[in-house]
Amino acid sequence: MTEQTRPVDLDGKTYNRTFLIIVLLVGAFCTILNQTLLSTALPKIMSDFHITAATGQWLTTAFFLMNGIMIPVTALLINKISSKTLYIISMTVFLIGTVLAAVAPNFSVLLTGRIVQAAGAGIMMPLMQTIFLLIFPREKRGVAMGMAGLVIAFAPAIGPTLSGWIVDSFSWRVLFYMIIPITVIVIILAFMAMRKVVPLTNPSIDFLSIVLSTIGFGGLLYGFSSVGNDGWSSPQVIWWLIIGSIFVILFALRQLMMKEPMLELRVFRSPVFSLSVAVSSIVMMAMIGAELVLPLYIQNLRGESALHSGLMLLPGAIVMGLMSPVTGIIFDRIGARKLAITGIFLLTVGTIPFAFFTTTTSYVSIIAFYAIRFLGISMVMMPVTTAGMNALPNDLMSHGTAVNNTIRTVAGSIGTAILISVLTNVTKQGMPAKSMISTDPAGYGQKAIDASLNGMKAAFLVATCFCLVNLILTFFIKGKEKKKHDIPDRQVG
Amino acid sequence: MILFTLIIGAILFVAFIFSSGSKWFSKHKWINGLLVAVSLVMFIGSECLIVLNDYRHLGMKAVVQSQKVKIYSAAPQTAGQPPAIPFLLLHQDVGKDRLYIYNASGKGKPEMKHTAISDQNQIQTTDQAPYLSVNKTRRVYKNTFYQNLFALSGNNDVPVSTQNVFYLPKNNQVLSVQEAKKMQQAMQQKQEMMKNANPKTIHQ
Repeated sequence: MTEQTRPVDLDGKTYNRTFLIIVLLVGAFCTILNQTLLSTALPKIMSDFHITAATGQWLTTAFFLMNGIMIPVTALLINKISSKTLYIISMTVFLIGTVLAAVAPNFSVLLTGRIVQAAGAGIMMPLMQTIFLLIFPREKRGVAMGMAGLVIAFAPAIGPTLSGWIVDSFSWRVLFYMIIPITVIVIILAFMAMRKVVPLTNPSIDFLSIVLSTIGFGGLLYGFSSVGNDGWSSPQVIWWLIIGSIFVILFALRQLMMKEPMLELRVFRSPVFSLSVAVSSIVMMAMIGAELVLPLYIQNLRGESALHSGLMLLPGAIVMGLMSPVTGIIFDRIGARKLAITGIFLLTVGTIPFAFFTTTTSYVSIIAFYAIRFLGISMVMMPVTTAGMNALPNDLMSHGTAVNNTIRTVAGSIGTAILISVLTNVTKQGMPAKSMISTDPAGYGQKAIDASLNGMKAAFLVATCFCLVNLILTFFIKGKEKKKHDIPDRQVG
Repeated sequence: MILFTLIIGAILFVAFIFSSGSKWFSKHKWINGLLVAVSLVMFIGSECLIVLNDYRHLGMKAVVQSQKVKIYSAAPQTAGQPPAIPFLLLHQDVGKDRLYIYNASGKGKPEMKHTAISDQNQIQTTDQAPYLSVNKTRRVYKNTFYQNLFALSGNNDVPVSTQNVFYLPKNNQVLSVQEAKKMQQAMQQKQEMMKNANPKTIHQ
């Protein structure tokens, strides 16, 4: 790096950008890893604390809810507190939560630890993206966001495999203990590496907005995540969705009326940004939902262990992790349009075979198609997000990332709710009557397997529909390849 | 093979689209278009073949393996017994599915075996020694071409169905396990009655 291009922070001092990026990425990796870290360890925690699966599930649900509640507030925090201080604070909060969870003598302390962890983790994802977008010039943002995408995609994907592997030979507490030293080192390094890079506008804190967004997004996320267990018609689901929707609408109205809103919804005035949020949200719906449905097929219908199903999904995550920086470089050269169309096309074509799976489909084929899906996703997610962000002025960057991450989180929960409920309903409809067990056990077994298989196929057909809708949307993305490549070509010719 | 073409097809498709903006391809657009099309056909074609093989068993054929197993009456006939006692075959009903239980050992202790719950069963009579004919249908590749094509991605040698035909002597009796138990008890009672009755007759 030459002296001329050496990046300068807001105090005018030069800093080592690579060092800052590594500290940010490692910190974000630890926090995002925790989203999925407990899924395979749950049975052991359940037997240690003598709790039911439904209670144990709260360790993941509460984390997800707290994460979702924190994200809309991050725009305020990022503009109020120096990025260095905010990063150190959120990592410290995360560290306190991790220590609490590691030493937890009972379930309540463990759950509290998880919620504290999530409060820190919720700030990390938008903070990392905002910093990455601001420390790179517009034409290099693709690579930067690609690296962020590597962590965002890879960390949650290896969570179940890593925890399955560790829990096989150690206590679940090791899952938390192993994160503590890394987090401590990251916090110490952050004092040297992190700089003030986000300009502060010092907005006033509007407590009503915080209350509205917390109840609104918390309610929506809780409602959608309960659909899987209780179904759409459960009064609990309906009430939470109604309460959540009302509070989100009130929140939105308040933001639009305020001079200095907590979350600037006027970012939607940019059609490019709005389109990017729509496309990346639908990709999220297709991705997260399928990530949940496929393990059900591998574990319940094929009888594989959670660790094995995690291992089968790993190559897809590796493909996405490796491709993220590559697609970032390509984005900077050819723009989002071609990448998005090709990516969603691959995602669609890669999803169709899942709707034709049988009980004997070879695992190698499953792994290959799953990896092709993620090859497609890696070409859409971060490039489209970056294109959307590039349409916003720098002072709206923190609002853009907060809005984008909030909507993507809600979309992920909607996608999961839809796919899981399609799976359960189709399975239930095809399920033979219980009385058949005594009269025709062989027939019952066959019909039950067929019903579960049809449920999975229906869920993937719906996922394919999401992809097709998205494919149409991507054609509205504007390309920049003409501008970038025709000029040098003409010079040559 | 087909997995290889699937993955290579997908990678080439992506690579040719990404390099479409390069200098050389901008001048020779039709070559780029052709390469994209060829790689796309390779990718989608491989995918279709994999799905057809898995879903419609493309390139597979059903092969029937027949096996003859000698069977013996469930109630072993001792040398002194009159041949009038019928050949015994047992069954146990699980719902509407019938499992047949047969004796596969002619000497010493009977070796009882049973059919699987999903098997189709038939009983016929024969003049020869009783036997069980097992016809196992399995799905295998039609030829080595398909075998190489679907190596790794396919499923060779998958059991499809099993058909059992029991060839029994004319004088046979097919009993459920419960009926057999009852009959055994009845026999024992009869024998005991006979034992108890016999001394009396001698005394008289």
